[in-house]
Amino acid sequence: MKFNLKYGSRPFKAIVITIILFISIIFSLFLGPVKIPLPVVARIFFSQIPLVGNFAHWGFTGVEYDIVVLVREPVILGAVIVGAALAMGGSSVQSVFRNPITEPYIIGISSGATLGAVFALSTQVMWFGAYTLQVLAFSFSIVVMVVIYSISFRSGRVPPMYFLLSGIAISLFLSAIVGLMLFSNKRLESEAFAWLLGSLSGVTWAEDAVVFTIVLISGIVLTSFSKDMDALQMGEHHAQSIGVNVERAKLISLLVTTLGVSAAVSISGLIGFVGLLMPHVSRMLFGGSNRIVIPTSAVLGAIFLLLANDIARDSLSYTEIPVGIITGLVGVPFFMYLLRRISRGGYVT
Amino acid sequence: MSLELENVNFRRGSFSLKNIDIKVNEHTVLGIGGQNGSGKTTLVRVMYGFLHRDSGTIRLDGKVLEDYSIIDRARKISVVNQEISEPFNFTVEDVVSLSGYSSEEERDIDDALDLCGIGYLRNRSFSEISGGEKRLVIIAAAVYQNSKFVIMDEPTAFLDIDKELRVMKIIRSLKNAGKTVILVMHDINLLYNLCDDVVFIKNGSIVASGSTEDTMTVENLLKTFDVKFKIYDNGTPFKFIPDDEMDYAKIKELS
Amino acid sequence: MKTIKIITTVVVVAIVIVAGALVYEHFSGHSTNNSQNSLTPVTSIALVNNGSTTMINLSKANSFVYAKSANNGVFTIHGSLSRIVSLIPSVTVTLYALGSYQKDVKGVDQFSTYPNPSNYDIPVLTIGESSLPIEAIVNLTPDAIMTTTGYFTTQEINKVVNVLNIPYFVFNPETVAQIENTNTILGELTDTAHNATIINAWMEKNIDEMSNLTKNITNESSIFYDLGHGSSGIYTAGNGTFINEMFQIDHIKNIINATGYPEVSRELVYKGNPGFVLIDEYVNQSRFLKDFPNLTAVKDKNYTTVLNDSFIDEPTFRTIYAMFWIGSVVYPSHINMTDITAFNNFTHFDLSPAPHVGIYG
Repeated sequence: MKFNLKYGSRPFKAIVITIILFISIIFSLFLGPVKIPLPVVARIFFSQIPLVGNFAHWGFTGVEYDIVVLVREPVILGAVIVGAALAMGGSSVQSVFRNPITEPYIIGISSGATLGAVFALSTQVMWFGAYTLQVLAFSFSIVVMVVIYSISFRSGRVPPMYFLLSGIAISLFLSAIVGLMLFSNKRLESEAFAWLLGSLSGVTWAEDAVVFTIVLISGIVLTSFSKDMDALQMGEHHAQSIGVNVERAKLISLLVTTLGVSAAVSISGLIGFVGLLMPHVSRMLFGGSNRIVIPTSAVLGAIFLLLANDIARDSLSYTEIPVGIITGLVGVPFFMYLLRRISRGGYVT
Repeated sequence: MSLELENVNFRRGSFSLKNIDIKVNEHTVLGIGGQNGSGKTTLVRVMYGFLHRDSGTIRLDGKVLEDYSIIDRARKISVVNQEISEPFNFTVEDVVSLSGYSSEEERDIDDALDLCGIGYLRNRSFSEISGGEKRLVIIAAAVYQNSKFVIMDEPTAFLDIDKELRVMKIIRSLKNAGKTVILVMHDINLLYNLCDDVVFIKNGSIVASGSTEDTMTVENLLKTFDVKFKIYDNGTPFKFIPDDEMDYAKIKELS
Repeated sequence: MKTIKIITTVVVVAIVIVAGALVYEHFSGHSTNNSQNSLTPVTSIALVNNGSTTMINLSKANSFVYAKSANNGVFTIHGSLSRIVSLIPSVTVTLYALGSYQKDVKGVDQFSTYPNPSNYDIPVLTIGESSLPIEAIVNLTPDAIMTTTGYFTTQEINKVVNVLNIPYFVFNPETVAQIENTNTILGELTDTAHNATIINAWMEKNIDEMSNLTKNITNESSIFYDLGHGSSGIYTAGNGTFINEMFQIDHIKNIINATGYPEVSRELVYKGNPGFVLIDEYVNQSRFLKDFPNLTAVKDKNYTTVLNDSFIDEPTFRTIYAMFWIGSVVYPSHINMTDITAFNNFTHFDLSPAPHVGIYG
């Protein structure tokens, strides 16, 4: 393909958003309730880099090091990973269902993960140590997605509309079960509430490492299926006639999306709007081809969630707001703006 | 080297295709005609394997259709569907180049766009262009797919007269380039002008089939469409026009 | 064909789940013997001081600690705790009474308003709805976080305990005996055990005095405590709570027979027909009156609002105040606050605000 770096070209814009992501990451390192001077944060940051670090191992206390390296960095990396996973999931789900207002949660991830989380909370099981809730949220959402997929399987096909409707039905059913679990144990409400709003403050390096791996793999697989998903947007007849194995493409993209998004959600709770909005922003900037939309929406999702999390951490000096509230507050006006753009630009009619 | 349907049956709900026998000869244009709801679209969907027949055999170049993988089938048959989906923010180039999915080598889409006369649309957003232009883009995509068989389901529906002529030109040049075109149409004058062979179906059964000259008779048309036609054989492309004074009693008798 | 596809899918998913679980387990260190990165409640503390070891059993106070360095179910502390972040008012108040507040407490939550932290230059950490201010806590380099169940997410607790290596104490005393044990444990942990014995003796003495005052009451009254209006009923204190235990000492019968802090239906309140109704500080009194216009206690004006619920709802030695006060409002002819000698003479510790000030606002 032609690669030019002219102002306004696709590669140019891609490089710009990547630079913005890195600037946001660095910027976020300096934010927090405890004020640490800029040069100190910089020294701590560089001290972690091999070789360079030898020249920066001075001028900060152990507490400052802990705050930057153990408290802030995993949260920042978590926001990047979760934002990227949700946005990529949004791109793929919107393509598969040819529906611009779907987000990845719709395929059973939100209801399954919530069921797993609330199950872990209410039964107090410790099957996976401190990470029981995360593992159960992750596995329940995959199981629920597979159940919805199997229910929707009709004479060799999974009609997207049928899948969406079964998904909604199963989600409502599971919400009722979750409600029952919460009702019978009021003490859970606070932690369940935190889970439903989404929060990144408890994320650790260990969680980041595992989720990063899963999200990276799912991103690579999704990108390699970008042509199939483009074709699905043209309708299943068209996709099959140009040689796409429609059912395989749908299954793999939904499964891989579920993997990535469930892993992300397991450490963050249900953060809304990223998966709905970022694919559209990416399509406006870069056009509709998933080969470009999937990676760029990942970058955009990472930036969005990172900045939303910065607002959540820093807007009220005395406390931290769950990041899900901020994505909603910022996301809704943004979505309204997007709707106007969409209706004016003939992007979706 | 051809596409052959032998005794194909297909049933979904109350609709069925019954005992379909068709042999599509290479380097020809085959027309499929019939009323709305007669099963033309279903027939072609069964023909390229999107719908699975209940019984009978379909052979593509001597091999049973199911022995091909979906991608191999796409290398043999391309399809212009009747309905066109709206993808998110695709350019015309994106839509056409998607049809290179089954092809191993990278080709330029210019030839396909030029043949369809839509080179000027290349960088336009697919959702912004007119319905007729969209149809031409989809045809260009099928041309770009570069398969031996091209199935077109109502390619001229809702088109202006100039675009209709463009489609006729495309079909003829495909035939000249050695392709085999299967054309679903209800416009019998276009069928007459474009096709070497025709198949007429009604209620899922073949009413008449064979070479255009032999098959397109006023009697067969009456049987297929329940409409009496007059023939104007004065060298214009338009040969058949509906007879206003229809004899409904006779129509019933014949059908 | 299709069945095979589904089976393959399920198998692949199962493999992925197992693989994911194994990776998580690897990181959680659950498969190994060391307790690192798992959240196991520990109830035994070995307090090592000048070569001698005191064992502390947290379960006597219905409490436990999460600690990364706990070994074989025992968490060892050398010396005593001296940098405590208290995120629950009951612990803050107890530490204050023990005399540990000024020397050991380095930060409190925004609800720990007594004693006033600004008088002692103690930073206030704001806890949100299920949100632990991790960064601010780390900045205080605490050697213990003290709180109760149900505030923070397991994920945040894990980060604090296993990544940042800060022991996390959870106190849930639910009976008078457990409150006294909490006093003793906090005293031992902060090297103020002697003061704990004084406070506990004071509590026992007052409970005895109350029992003496109420033992002749033949016409036992009943009570309902309105702790808040939920979606399907009213929250109240039931069996197994220290609030209920106070009612028992006061010879007042709780009309609710359920356990813990249940949400009870309005019908049960009518059926129980309490002789007296206690309404919590944060409940709108008119809401209760509107809900129960025909209740005998409402008609007879036998109801009152608690003006400072921290005396009644927090499991500390201060519940003794509440015990007397409730007795005096339910049985005004038997109990008069000013007559309680043991109570008035108690000046050993700064227990201000004085009980009547505390409860009446």
